[in-house]
Amino acid sequence: MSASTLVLTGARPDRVGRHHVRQLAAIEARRYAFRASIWIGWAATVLMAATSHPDWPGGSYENVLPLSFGPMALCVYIAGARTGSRDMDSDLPPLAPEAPVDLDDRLAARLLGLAMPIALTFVTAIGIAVVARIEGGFWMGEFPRRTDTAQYSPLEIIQPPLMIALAGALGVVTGLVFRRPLLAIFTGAFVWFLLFPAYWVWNIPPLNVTTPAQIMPLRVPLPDVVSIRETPTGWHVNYPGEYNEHFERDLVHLPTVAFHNLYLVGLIMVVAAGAARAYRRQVRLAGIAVVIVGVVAQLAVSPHGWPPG
Amino acid sequence: MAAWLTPTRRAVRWTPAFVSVAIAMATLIVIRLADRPLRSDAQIIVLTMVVIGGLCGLADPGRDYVHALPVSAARRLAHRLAVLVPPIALAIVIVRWMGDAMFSEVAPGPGSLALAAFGAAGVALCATLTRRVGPRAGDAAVAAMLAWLAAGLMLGKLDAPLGLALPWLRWPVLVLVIATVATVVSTTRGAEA
Repeated sequence: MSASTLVLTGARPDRVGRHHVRQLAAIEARRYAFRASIWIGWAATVLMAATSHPDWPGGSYENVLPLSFGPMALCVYIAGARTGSRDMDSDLPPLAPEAPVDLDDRLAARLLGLAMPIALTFVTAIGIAVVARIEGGFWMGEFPRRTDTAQYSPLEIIQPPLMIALAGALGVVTGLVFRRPLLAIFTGAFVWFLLFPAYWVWNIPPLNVTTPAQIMPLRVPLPDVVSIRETPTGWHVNYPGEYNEHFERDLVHLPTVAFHNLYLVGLIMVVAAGAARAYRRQVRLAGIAVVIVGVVAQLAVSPHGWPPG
Repeated sequence: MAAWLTPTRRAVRWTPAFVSVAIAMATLIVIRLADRPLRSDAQIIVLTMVVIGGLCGLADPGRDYVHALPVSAARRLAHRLAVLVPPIALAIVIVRWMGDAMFSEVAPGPGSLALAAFGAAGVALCATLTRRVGPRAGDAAVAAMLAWLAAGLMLGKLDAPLGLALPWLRWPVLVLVIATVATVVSTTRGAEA
């Protein structure tokens, strides 16, 4: 009797253990490392971080981190979608659901393999922060409430890896869901265009608490201020201009950053719950709870107040 | 009714076009609800993605089967374009009308000629790639157009000249002419004739 007949008539073979899923995840991580899209995204990220320096207070600060990681997010999403759709678009016959390494295990391995681009992003973000420190820092505010030495905090450096984890997990899951990877990539690219090149749409309160790429500094309007010298000396303040009616304070608000990171963790838990296999439902529910806590906490601590002023 | 119309309409992939129009409309609504202005970059993204959604319909999965039949590549492409272009043009008109109706001030966006040039470049790319990679040309052309748009927007952020970043926006007539010639040559010469 052939093996295939055994599969059709017999009991489902036992699933592999966690050790084997980890081994498969290591293979997937190596495959990610050999994907051209990952390195194209990384090169574009480094290029943008090195050369994008808009001429407004806080412009370089927000562009270098996190916005320069936009290309990396798109390319990791594409790599994830191609990886996730491997069962769908391969010319080979699909593995049977009864295979010892079943779809859940393969999905878990593909999600865990994203550790490679996430680690690459984390190292790059640290490198950018170190270079910024060596170069002296960033410009915020206008004279006499100006600084040229603003630096990134560790909490802000965590945001790009979380963003990339979310993009990659979304890619793997959509690649698995969509029958054709092109539709997954097209839809993801459209959303990416709106979230990154058109980031200004979402980075105002209250939308900025839900957008994956949350920029700092926050621009807090100061409607009662009539002269910049009224403001405390430690503040970074901009004059009224084309886009702001009042004086406004450039504020890197760490509680908002921290809770936004928590929000991203919740989103990752929701999207990548498949990696938890037997505990998928619990992880997804916990992720939804974390997302809600992250959003509410950001609104609660927001310097813009609620409703946003 | 022409005999080719119904089979071509059925063979075209409509889902990406519907998805792109839906996301475009939803984006305009969200921007309006957020009380944000409709800037040029948002218009470029929304309108070009509708065009790329239409380009997804150029994929010709049955190309290898009908290649030997006496229906030339040019005619197959013309049939697809005849089915695809009117609804995509209508979708662009509707999205533009939504923008004008919902926003009191609308920054200048890509004109009809520029969008036609962008779409023509995608068609030319698809026709050219079909000679090399066969039925997968549609997907490859869409991926290349997405990459072109992303690179153009990135270069724009890096203050590159508009002609380098988005040449179809700077010189639409030139791009349109080159793309049309490339399409005609690709579909009427050599193995595709």
